[in-house]
Amino acid sequence: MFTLMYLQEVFKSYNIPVDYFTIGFILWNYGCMGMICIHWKGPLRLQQAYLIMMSALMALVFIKYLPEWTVWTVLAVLSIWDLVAVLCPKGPLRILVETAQERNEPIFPALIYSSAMLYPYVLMTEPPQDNSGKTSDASSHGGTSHGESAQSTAELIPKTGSSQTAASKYSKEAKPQKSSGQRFAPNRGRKSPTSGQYGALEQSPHVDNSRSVEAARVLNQDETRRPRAASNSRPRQQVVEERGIKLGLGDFIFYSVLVGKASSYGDWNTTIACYVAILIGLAFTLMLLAVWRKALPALPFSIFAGIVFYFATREIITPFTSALSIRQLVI
Amino acid sequence: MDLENLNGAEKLLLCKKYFHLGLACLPLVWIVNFIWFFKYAFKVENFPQQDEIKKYVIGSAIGSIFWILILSIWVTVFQIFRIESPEIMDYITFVFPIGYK
Repeated sequence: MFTLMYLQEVFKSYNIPVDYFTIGFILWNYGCMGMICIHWKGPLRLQQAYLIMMSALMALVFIKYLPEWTVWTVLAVLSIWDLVAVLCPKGPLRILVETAQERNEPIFPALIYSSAMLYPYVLMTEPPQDNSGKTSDASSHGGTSHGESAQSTAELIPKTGSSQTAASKYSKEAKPQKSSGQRFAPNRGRKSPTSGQYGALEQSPHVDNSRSVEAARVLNQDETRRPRAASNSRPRQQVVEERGIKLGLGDFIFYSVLVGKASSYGDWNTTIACYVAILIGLAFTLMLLAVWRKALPALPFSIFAGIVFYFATREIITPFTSALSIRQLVI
Repeated sequence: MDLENLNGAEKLLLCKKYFHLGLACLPLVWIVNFIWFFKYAFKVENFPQQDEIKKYVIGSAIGSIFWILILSIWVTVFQIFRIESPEIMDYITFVFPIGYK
């Protein structure tokens, strides 16, 4: 639906008439492909692309239709909630994570509800055995474990059903929900019995976590077939286990909202500052993740950093630089 | 979802499924099928189901070309006739162009 609105706006601004048939056809294709890619199997890049598009569209909708202060308060409150929900032992998100881990289910399927699907966006990190570089491989896990976990998660639905802010991470419309803003290293210890493919695999060299979030996601596929990896001698499971860090889609949406809001003031300084702040927050969170190896909320650091930078830049830097350039001072 | 994980038979199955899916007026699925399996159908030489995959890939390619043709023809027709017979076309217009100010 968001796509529809977006397309409508685009076409209006270009003054191109489009008929219902064409639009219907395009939408039908796009939607079906999206469903196929995300819920079932599909090429990895395509899945990532779809997730990104959906997140971006949602963020757009938020930016456009929410009043000013609501956005900021929502972001701030969400970060706090995220922090609380994941780290406190009673938090719903933590329960989800731990339940998934206890049952030894392969890839965090606990967020896949029977009514709506979860679209976790998966960022994989090689558990660096020797090498500490944080390269990530992106792979996805879609609804592969949908069937088996459907009943196991039924009990979790009422718990999480209550958290319903507009930006909530749980399903709002008929659309699939996004996973909460947490990420966790699907513990290697847990997974190694099931997948048997972990090992000192080499990282893909060109992946660098300091790249933009978007770019960082587009990474190599499963690392299972790096020929030079020593662990390839281990017997392969039938279903390739994917591992690594999973980043909830909700995270992306909020990052996008933050940056989008920042950019809507038309000031490049602010936008870039926010972007950088988010990246820094992300890198920091990843570091912490490597240290703790538990589910961590991905939101708080980045969002706090972003908000702080945003306001600071707006209030301070901009007049500063304008004054500088007006008076032609070079520092 | 990595194609290298699957062995030949599974690839064939996947290709087939994508092909059948595309039959529901979904050229995009066919295009994706074509691109995705292209390497396996033509560039890699050595597995037994390759002929079948080739079949499906070529089928998807033809199918997508067909749909693209149809779509282009329809759009052309629509754009040309929109001006000539405005009533019918107004009915199916989704976005009306605003005149220039």
